[in-house]
Amino acid sequence: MLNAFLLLEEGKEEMEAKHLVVIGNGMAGMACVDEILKRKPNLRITVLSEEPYYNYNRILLSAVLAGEKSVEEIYINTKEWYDKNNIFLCRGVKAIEIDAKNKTVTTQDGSPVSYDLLLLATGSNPFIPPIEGTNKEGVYTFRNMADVETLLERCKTAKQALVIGGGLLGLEAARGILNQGVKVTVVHLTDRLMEMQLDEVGGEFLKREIEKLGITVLLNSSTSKIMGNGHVEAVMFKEGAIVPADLVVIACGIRPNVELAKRAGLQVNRGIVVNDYMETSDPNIFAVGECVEHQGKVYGLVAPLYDQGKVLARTITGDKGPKYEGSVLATKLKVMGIELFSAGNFKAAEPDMEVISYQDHAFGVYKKVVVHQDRVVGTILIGDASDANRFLEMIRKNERIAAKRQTLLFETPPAVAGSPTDVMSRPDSETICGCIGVSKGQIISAIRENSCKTVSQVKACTKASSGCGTCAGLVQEILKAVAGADFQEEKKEVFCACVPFPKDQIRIMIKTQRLKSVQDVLDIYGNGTGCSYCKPGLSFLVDEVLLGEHKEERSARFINDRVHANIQRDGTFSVVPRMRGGVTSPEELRKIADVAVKYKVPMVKVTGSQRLDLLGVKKEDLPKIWADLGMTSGFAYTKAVRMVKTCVGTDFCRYGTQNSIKQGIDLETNLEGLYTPAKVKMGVVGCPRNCAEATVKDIGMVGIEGGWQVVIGGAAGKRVRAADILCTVKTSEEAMEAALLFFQYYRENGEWIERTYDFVERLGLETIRRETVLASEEVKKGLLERLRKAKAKAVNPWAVESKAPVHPRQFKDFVLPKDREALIEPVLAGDGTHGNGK
Amino acid sequence: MRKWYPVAKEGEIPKKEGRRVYFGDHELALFNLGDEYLATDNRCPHKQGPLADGILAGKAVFCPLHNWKISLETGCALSGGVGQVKVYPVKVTENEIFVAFEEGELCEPQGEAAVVSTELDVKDVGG
Repeated sequence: MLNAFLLLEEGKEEMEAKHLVVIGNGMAGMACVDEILKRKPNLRITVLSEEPYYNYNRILLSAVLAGEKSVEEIYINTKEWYDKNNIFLCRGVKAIEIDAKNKTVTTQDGSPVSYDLLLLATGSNPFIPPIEGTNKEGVYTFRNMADVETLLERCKTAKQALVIGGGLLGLEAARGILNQGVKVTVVHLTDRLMEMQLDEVGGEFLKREIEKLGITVLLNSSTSKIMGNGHVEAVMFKEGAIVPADLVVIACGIRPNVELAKRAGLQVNRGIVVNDYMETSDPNIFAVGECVEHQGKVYGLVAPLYDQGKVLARTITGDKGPKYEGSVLATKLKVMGIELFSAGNFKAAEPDMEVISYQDHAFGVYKKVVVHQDRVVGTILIGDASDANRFLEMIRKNERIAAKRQTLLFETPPAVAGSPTDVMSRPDSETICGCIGVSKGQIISAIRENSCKTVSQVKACTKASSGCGTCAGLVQEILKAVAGADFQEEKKEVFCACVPFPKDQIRIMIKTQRLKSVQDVLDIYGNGTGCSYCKPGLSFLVDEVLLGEHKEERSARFINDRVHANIQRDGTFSVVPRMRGGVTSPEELRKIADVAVKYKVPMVKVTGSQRLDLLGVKKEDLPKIWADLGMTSGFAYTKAVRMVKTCVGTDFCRYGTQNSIKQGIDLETNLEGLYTPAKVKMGVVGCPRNCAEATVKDIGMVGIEGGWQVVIGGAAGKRVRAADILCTVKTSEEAMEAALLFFQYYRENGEWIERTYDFVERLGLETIRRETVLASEEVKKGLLERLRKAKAKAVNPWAVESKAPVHPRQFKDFVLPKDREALIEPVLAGDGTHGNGK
Repeated sequence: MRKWYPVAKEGEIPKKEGRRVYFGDHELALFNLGDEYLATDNRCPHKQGPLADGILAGKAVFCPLHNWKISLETGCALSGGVGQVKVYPVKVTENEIFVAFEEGELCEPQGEAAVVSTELDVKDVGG
């Protein structure tokens, strides 16, 4: 590190540029640097970052904890950004001393860094209340990426978590932990959750919503002691009650991180004191963000940081512009399933303030607008925050509202759930992204100038929705309207319009909330009815995620899966028994022949999958045929493991180098009976002559001299695609393990009806290798263990349901004898309408 | 004149599934929506797919052959293409489900096994 600095120091004379050193690599600091860069300054920029990460979106840490986003997804600026802008980023380097007189910063490894201009963006630290036992193992804060990584790790084993603090951060932490499958209790000191943002009624509404998620809430509870022998075991309250917990998160608020500034002799009260130009008491030192105190106010939210950054960028680049005049405080709770927004003076504390409000307990909707002298000064929205920006705009603009007062709460009639609010009817000046401060007009011109097609492109050039992200829906609406036919959905699409969440998120919901049936998922997160796409898809997901412990609902399955046969164009079915590796016997052939004769099967066909197909079977004959055959279902009718084709291999072939028949039969035996996102066809060949076409199969094995190549993502269907080599190994066991690893990885990560050949191209071979054959032993063990558990639950449905159908009428139609005239009565006028309920 | 025919008993059709009902050579489809029963012709207007084997979505069914969506209330195709099937009144009396129709107005059964052998749909015959 030291050398790097020396190099910089040496180059200084030639460059003439002033050296701007930024302490802190968080949202405020980098947003300000971004603004500075826009002004193309003659500056050399060094950033000292205590955290070892690139600049990430701290607001979205809760989404990472909740499993809704990955770490990569919340980076605001990646390495490329620093490189492109010649910013020298020192990661994991802590500044420990500022010498304002000599204009140097000392880092923890002792290297001095001299500056011309110094920007303090040190943010804030979590406040740890003076409770006994906060140093015990298992007690954490929730403030940075390292905290989230620790919490995610701990959630794997924790049974009962307790969050101290029912503010914004505490509730987001609780939701995240719940999503990781750990029971959560939130304890809060006062009688109201989020009392900084909510009034009494709002607090009640929020408490009900939080409890609906399955989180226990304890109000008026003052924690007195964290108990446990080394590791936390329970938490005790002032009134004596004890709640067991093996994971405790302290979320009691934040305090500006002002230590450095204080020691450097800057004026510091609660925060580092700055004037309207964001200058500190030292002319060469500036400050921005949560560490700052402006006109007696300290802000812990994102929007003010951006406001401040814009002002400071002008100050630093020697172009002092408009003053910073403080920000309207606005908060959005980012907890999946709860909409909450609060802004401005929501309490209506002044005597001449009026309140306009609406409460609907059944729908959990609370809307409150505080009006003062004909102007909106504050709002609380719970359950439906779609008007958040409209009210925020009114507060910021200080506009008179007498004319629209009657329709203030509901500008348009209350929206039907799921229908988008019409953003295009709003004025261009309206702010869409409240965090960054981007207006509708700015978004529209950015879309036109840059020909944006996706929301992420809009995000990249305007930064809109890169804050808390809740305006992404509005941005999309605008993009759709402006880009028209050019609009493209993001890659991460929702599973189905009936359940509008990405597949990964639905998997988490199923897992953490143990949603056992398709109907549960549809009722809680969807439209309740589903369709022919998502019902079978969700049937697969509940099965896959719960490893076969789901509740089977035949009504959500396609007819093929209801009767374990493939429906044909005339409504009859086909029957394909399993013939592992394409190997059969005289006994099996005899049984198949007998069945074909007995049930008058119109056609017997050799399929492309090295097995036999009985075509034209009536539904009611299916269980009888299965019983007569006594064979295993070939699953030739569904999205599941189909078959393994093999060549003759070393058993008979004079060219064979590997025993492909045995390996193929073993592979089929290991995987048969398992369902997959789309059908999986496999092949094993004993030599590269590839007689069973293994290189155009979803999973293939190719015998080579002294080993096997395991190949994936091949296709010879609608598309033809040569498979990619996953790995080359020496033994049959290694080849088998590689195939099983990929199989389970695909089961867990493939999109519904995405074949492996699209899956491999979407994720890339390198990613797949890294996550399967090149993954850590622990990851591999996890994949194989989940596969083992799922396989243990897999059955041969023909054997089970030929004896015990899931319903007495599963295979039987109704036949009305024509001679039942006696029971027939004429339909009288007005007698029974269509669809008469029971 | 339509008459009420007793077709099935409550509980004989699994919830949110349909079943085919033969009346001589003719047939209809009877669906159990959970809180009510609805009946339609059993042949999709597109390629005569058996609607009784479809997936239900609210008061509509998706044909198992090519995914046309048919309203069970009006019989109209809601997606896939343009077409309509007949709908029949249903009532439940003392555990017995009645459907009203006139003899002869029901559709012919979907192709018998006899037509299979020559013309197979090769799209996904399994294998």
